[in-house]
Amino acid sequence: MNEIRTEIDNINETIEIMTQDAGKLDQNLDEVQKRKQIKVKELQTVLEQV
Amino acid sequence: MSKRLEKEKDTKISAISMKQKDLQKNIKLLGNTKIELNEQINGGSKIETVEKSREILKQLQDMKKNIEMQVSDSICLDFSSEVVPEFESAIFNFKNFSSHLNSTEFLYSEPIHSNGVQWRLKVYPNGSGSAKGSYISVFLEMTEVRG
Repeated sequence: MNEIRTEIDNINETIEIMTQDAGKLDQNLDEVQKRKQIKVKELQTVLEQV
Repeated sequence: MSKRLEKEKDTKISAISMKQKDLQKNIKLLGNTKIELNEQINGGSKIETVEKSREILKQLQDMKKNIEMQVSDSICLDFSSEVVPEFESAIFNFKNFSSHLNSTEFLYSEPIHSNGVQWRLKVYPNGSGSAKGSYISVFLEMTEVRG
């Protein structure tokens, strides 16, 4: 019984971590867009200079 | 070239979205498991719970292993640069290097190819110019460029 109760606590903890991870993945989606834009600008600047 | 960036972005977004779906699925699975376990503890008879506990714990361990494997995969957010080529390295081996230490000769390394350019090292084991007799001199030569 106690072991199962401990497992329930662990599950709660894992759910919390996973929810945070899901939030981080949302941020990653924004970050990917941002980094792509930076690379496009970098490329445009070089092409203008050539 | 920007099409390549767009494609790379789509691949990364698709990988992140898949990971998000997996996470949501696992969160739901864990939530349901938690409810079932609570029902088992609070609703079922204690004897029944104790009898089933070994089986329940085994199922939980298998589920956790599966989830841990999925969470550990990370996605690289960096894009390959269209302007700065990726870092490349090589190891050059010179045979009988010590026999050239007192000579004024130079040695060439095997060529290395990187992003359409061929390079090689020109090495003076006994030094070149003002370094002669004191230091080793190493020059990097660009020997071929393919357009």
